Amino acid sequence: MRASRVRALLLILLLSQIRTRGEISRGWFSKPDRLIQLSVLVFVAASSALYAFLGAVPGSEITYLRAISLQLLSSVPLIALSFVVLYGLFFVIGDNAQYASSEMVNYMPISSFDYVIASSLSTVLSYSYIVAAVLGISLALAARFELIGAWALSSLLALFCATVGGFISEMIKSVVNRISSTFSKRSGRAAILSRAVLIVIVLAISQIFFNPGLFFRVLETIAPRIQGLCFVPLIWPSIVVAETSAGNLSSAVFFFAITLLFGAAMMLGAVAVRSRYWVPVPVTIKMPRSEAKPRAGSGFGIGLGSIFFTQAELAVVSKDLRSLSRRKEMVRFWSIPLIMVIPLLLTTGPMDRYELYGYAGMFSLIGTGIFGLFLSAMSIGQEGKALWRIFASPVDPVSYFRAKAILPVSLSLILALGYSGVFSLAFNFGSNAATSLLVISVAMACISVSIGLYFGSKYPDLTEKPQSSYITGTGILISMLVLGAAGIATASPVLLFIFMGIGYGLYPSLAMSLAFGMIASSVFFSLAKKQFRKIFADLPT
Amino acid sequence: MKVAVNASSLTKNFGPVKAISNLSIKIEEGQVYGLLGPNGSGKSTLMKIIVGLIRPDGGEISIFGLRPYERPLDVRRIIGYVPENPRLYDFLTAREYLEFVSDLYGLDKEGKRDRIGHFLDAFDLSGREDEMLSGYSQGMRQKVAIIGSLLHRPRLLIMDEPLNGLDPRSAKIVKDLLNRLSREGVTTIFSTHVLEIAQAICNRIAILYRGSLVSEGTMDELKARAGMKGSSLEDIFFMLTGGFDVRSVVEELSR
Repeated sequence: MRASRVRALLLILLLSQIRTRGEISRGWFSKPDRLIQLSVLVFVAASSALYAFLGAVPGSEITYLRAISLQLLSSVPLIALSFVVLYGLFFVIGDNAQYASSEMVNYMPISSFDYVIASSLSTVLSYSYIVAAVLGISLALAARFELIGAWALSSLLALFCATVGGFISEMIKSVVNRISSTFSKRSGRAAILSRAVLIVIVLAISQIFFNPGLFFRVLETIAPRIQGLCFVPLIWPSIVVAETSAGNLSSAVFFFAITLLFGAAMMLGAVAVRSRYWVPVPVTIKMPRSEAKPRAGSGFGIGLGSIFFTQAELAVVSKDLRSLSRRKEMVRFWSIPLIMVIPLLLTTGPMDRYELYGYAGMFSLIGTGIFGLFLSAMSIGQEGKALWRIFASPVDPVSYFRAKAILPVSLSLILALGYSGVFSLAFNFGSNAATSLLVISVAMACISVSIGLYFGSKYPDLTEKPQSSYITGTGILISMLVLGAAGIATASPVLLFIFMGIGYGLYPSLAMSLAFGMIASSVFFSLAKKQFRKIFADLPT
Repeated sequence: MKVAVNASSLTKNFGPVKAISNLSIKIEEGQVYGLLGPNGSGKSTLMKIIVGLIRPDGGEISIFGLRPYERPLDVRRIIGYVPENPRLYDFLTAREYLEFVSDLYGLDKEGKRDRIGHFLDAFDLSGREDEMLSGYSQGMRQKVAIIGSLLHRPRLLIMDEPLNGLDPRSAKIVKDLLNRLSREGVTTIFSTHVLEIAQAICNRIAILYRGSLVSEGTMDELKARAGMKGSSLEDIFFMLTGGFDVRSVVEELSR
């Protein structure tokens, strides 16, 4: 390993990560050292704000807070690791497969070892402000309850674990790249489906295993018997902090040593996986070859579709469906419904009926809303520079708008029905609760797609880069805020009646919710249609 | 002869950059019309204006008597376009892409299947049509883009450096095809940096420099206007676009 080479590569990778974050990356954030400055600022702000707040906490709560603080200090390394893996993973999944094989590292004189070290560090540094926030919060608690020694050890281990998190991300990245490069040139249905399913599974599993919320719950459960979990490497740093605080130095030293060994093993593992799955390595995984046979007609395979839609509209829908199933950066959207349900499934505590309604409703609405919004908001931007093909063809803006609306509306409605059905059956909802969930979810599906289409066409991002976002940062931010407001307004009549008894009965409330949802959708669909006409006047760049 | 493209006093600015400046041309039906000019001379911008992808800031343009901004769909139905760097949908196979394009133009089932098969054979892509475009070389992508522009039998073909990346056989096919289409009445506007090709296949040539038309006509007319009878197109081109200092640049670079 040559330090200068790693440093140069680290700088480039950091710049690459920063500059693919859209408009945020311009101006003050455009330089890597600003990330360090931001982390320091976050650290100071988090620690001083919490310390000031703790000064005002009543004495009766102090004993409880002290116990919690020690638990938190033990779990800080684990939290740091999970955050780095989680965010690193989101970056990897969003990576445009087209660039993975043409990255300069593939043909520059850089060893796998150099690359793994630089890439892992760049992941850690990119999200260092999150680790800094966790360290700042724990410092405030440690200072308040005189646990500075434990904090120093915990922070040291947290930095180490964050780096180990970088190695784990690197391993996942190599594997995902391999899956991607193996299947990207195959058009067979089995290959496409396998790739999509694999990526969704990787995302869902990572969401479960590296979910900080889940870790908190696990730690809460296992803290009293942490020694019983000494076979789980991710828990070792926590044991080091706990044992040191309890004065068991020999045990602490032992776990510290094996923590270091675990870190080294992860690093070597990441290097081995990267060497094995270096992108240009020829494909070796064998898949049954079932070449996609071209269909006559639109290729969409929905006979009835031709009654309601033109040939050109169905052609665009068919293309977009293929985009959703074949492009790694698009396939990730399929995982949204699953990811939104996981927290509900992980909620194990006893809940009364109303809590259950609340949880199921919230996850159903957020899941449907986010899914519909993202699918529709990305619909123009995902065309990228290939948009010329549409603009140079005899497709009018309204046809194109209809084509772009069909897929997200259909998929979001299917999801709304799916969520309502599954939750109602799984949690044994009565007919009123099931109907309420269904109506609000359907309204949410229509609203989210209409809002997504409008903002996606108003703020499209057609630039093709390693981390294509398809919609500008401003666009996605505004659209999410508008969706949140519209979602709350739509659900309000029903929620007010169910939880507070305000209104004229369930069905009038449902009718009001549905009416509001339809009006809001019509307004945004109409705005989107106008926006489509506008962008057709000049090819956007 | 009908006029295929009639442009007068076209102007297009990109911020402070004058991409097209007061440019007027008239292209007759069935002509193979070459656009020449150094990088940044406005060739691609002019082509995009003709296709209707860019709206000019000033001037008038009509395609077979139709104004692209009044009847865009009618104009696009009769145009076939190959951009300079054709971005295709990498997640589609070549056949899926060509079927998609056929559907956009409303070709019937049998017609599109026959024409796609015919063109795939002609451009040596048979057997590779069910591979993803992401695995295609630059030349193969160029062939797919060219096929996409021909499927609907356009009356006006607009090709921005269509021979980029093509192997000699495919380049020859494109050149012969342009000649044949010209005989059948199809008008072609194409840009190239290979002056020999322009000289060999174009009926008329326009030389653009910094957004303005500096000369236009048949080869003989260009020579006569430049007062360079017996000279090659290369000599005329360099004379009009100020490229005669090439030798001194090369000498400077080789020091």
